Amino acid sequence: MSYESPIRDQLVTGGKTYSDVTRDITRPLENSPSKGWWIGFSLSTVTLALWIGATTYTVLVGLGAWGLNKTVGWAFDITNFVFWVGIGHAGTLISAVLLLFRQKWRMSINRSAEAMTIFAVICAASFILSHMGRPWVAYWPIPLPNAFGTLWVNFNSPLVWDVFAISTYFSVSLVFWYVGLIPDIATVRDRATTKARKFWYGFFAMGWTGSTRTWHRYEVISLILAGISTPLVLSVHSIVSMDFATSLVPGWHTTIFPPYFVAGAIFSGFGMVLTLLVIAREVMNYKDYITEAHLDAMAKVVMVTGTMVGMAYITEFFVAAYSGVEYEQYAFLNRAFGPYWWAYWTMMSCNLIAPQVFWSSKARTNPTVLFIMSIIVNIGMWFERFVIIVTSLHRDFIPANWAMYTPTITEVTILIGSFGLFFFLFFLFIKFLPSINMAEVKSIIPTHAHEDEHQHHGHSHELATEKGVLHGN
Amino acid sequence: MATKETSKQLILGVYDNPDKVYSTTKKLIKGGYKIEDVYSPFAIHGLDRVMGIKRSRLSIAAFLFAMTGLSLAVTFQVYVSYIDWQMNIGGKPSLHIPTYIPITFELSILFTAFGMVTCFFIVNKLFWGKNADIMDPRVTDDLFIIAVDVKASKADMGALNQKLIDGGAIEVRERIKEL
Amino acid sequence: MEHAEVHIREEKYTITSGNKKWAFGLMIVGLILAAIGYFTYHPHIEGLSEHDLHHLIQKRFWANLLVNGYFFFIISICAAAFISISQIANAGWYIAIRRIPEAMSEYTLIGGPILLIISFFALPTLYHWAHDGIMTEGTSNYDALLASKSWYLNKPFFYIRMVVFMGFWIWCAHMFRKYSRNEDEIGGLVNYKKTYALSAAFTVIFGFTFSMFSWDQIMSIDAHWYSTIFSIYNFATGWVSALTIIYLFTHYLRSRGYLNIASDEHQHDLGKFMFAFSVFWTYMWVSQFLLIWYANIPEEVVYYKDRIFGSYKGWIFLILFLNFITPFFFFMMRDWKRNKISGYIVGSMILIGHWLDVWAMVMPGAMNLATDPSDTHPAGIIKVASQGIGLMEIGFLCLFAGLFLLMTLRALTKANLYPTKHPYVMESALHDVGI
Repeated sequence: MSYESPIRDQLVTGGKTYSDVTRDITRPLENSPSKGWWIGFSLSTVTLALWIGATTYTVLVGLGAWGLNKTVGWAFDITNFVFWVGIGHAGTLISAVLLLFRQKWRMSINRSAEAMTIFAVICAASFILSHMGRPWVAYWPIPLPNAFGTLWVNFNSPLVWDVFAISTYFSVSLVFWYVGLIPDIATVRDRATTKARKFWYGFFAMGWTGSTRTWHRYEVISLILAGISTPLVLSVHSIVSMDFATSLVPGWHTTIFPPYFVAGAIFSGFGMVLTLLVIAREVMNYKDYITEAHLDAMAKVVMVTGTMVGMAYITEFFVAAYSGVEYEQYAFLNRAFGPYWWAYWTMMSCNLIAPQVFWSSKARTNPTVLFIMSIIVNIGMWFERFVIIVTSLHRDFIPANWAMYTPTITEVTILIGSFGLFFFLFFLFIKFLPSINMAEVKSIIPTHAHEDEHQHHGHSHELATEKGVLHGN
Repeated sequence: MATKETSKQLILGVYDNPDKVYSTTKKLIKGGYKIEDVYSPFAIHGLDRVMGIKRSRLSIAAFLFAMTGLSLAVTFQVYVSYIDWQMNIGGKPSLHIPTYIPITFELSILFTAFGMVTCFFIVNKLFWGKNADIMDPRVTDDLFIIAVDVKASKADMGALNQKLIDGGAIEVRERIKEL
Repeated sequence: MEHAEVHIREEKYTITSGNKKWAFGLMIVGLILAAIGYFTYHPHIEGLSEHDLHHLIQKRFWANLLVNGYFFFIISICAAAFISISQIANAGWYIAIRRIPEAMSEYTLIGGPILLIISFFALPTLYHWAHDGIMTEGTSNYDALLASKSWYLNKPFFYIRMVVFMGFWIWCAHMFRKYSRNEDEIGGLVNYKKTYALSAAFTVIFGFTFSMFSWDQIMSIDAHWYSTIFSIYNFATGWVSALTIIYLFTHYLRSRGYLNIASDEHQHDLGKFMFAFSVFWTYMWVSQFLLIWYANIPEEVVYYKDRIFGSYKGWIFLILFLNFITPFFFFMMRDWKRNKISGYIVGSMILIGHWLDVWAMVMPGAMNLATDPSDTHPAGIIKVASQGIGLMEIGFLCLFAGLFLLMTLRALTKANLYPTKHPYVMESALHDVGI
């Protein structure tokens, strides 16, 4: 067992035993859903219906259903795409990066964050499909030998990179999530009382027995999956940023875009994780697993990444001024003081200024403050993408082409509906799969049967420190 | 080999605490017992080393898969954009190496992840729909089981039982494992 | 669970005569080599006047001082950043080696003033924007673009920024050391909490100020050019180099029988850090290069015209090899991170790579000669091809390396080699990388 300093916060409170963990976390799976679940699920199904309706309308009518014009060719669609992909980053980040950094507080939040990743990427992909206007030719960016000639896809194009990046990210995240789920699915299988449950969980548990030989290999591949997922997370949003940054558009072409988008993605992802978990710990009564220490840590990540994003905003602004390039300078002045000034200042205040409230430790552990802040962060990060995309495009090189963009009701419906898609999947997830990683959480519970001995050990540590000799336990 | 064994006789020590499992396993190994396996609801830190499990070579497999992905990605992109059909895009050379970086990277990761996880399933004989041969339904909940191979240990049953119980076992069972 | 018995002991480092020989030897040899290099450097470049060539000698001299002054200063300040970031991340594993970055950060005490002095002389010599009359309308060398930057690039503001930023960092690094040493005396959590609070403030302020610092010191040498990622890229350079030096010192001290609680496990984790941040550095390098190369905007791509497509080409590929390929393939292997010999080899290659990288950031811009803007020289610059790595480069590197070594070793003697009463010291002593 690795040794923990006595000053560290307990990550599972309430004196839980191993079987308590199993019981608490499998409860939603084994009992019929609560009223709250039904309400949430019905609401998201209705919203999902809106999404289906508006998307179908778009496909039938064509992109004329949207508010795009020949100056602003990308607007809500790509904003929503980047927004959802960004949210999709926290899951793998929590699992992979925090695993590499051995941050144990990840253990009770990684499962739902990974699920969130997968659902968010599905939402993001839906915008890529619908923005094509003709989704039935969506296979065109895939490098297949062209049936009409000898042309291939253009490997110079960041849009093609994006196809590879997003699909790799989606499938690797799915694998990572599933590998993490196997031991927990086995737990559900071994507790199953109904035939159907025994069959389905048994099917997906792949005959897991809990053998140490298997656990050893399991830990090796988890570590390597984390090791490869970390650069993957960074690369995906970097490639998304290159959709913009490889262009010549002032406000888009800036070298800080890759790390800046990654920081923004982590920021927005943690915003969404907070939204979900602050609710989940209340509704599902997971306060002993998602403790104040967890909230505190997440709030700190939000603050740090928010400040990094803010630093990128300021850097861009500064370098535009410093560059001496009129076009760059105008692009940024137009952002801050042009017709879309409100979007810019919403972004600034939500992303840079608001998270500074987390310097206060009271704010970091207050669920109400955290919930409000998480919504603010989500709004701020949506506006960031809107600002980057629309304000850089709407006043382009020829003033005669300058135009304004206003979304149509269809676009707004698709945006709202995408939340329906997201929450629909999320509600199904918490009903059918354990939403906290039981195996990992059990591994950080102090070995309860030895409680007395542990006390004794802890005591001897302190005593010995004074003598200058310590014995590890 | 004279005859192929069809079953194994195992003695199971059932525990409720990973620390006891760790120390008992260590003692048993020192005493020359052959431990078939230890079953636990979560990975016990350091137990694999105590049991003398060699470091898995899955990391080497991962590296090889990464190299496969990398070379396939480079070959394919070079073939498409340089050998098969060159195009002048923005005046860039047809062998535009910097723009190969993103896709090469992604495909290396994709191959590593899928290749390695597939190997993991194969070496552990895990597959969809497999009937699990579990020692106890609670081994995925809150019990830990040390399984000692009786024959290979050439063990005296009484002494072994005593050792397991001295280590804090809440129960000792016998089990025949079909091979 | 049993672990090997761990003794937390108060050990102090004593400088050996071998240490002194190395540190002073490097400094003396460096000084001699630099002097020989300086006096034997007679550039012959066609089309340049005697005056220009003389100027080139001065430029190379000051550019070398700047490269080393900057390189070692950012390493030592990144060592302080390592402490503060580990502190706010609640890291426990690094306590066994914490005194090493603390000692490295003590170099800032003299590295800061040295860099200030270098900047004072280098400013009119190396920095195009600091030339007399360049921002005054009507002079023959007037450059409108540079003049438009006068609100930021002017000497008083430059010095104010430098003094304020470095002053704050040096003070913070000093306080980190003070709290840490005080903790050895009194124990308890007072100093831990103070360090935590200061670390939070330092990390945020350092993030913003280091950006400007790197623009001032390095980016403004190529005064017409700009890149928003530049500061993060520079941070990656300093951070990887600092990690590498911590790693090398850990190996060294352990091999001399010190740091009884540090083990291969710590070495392994430091090695992982070097591996990860070498990849991070490469990510920054690729992001900057790929975007600039792809967009191909003249005012940006000029930076790589000198470097990747010009006389520095070979050096750039060597840098990529040393900074990416070396750590990536060698430090991917578990045993190479833990072994002393392979650690020394890979560590030195990384350090050389990053030193070369700073050199390649400074030299092309610094060695350009200023002239009056004309049709043949629209930017007011006469390009000078790479002068390579000569005695002057090696000499100054040795001089600064010796000084850095001396300062760090001296600082190591001032306190216990690891904080004995840190709340996480046992965690670190029993640290285990696991799988």
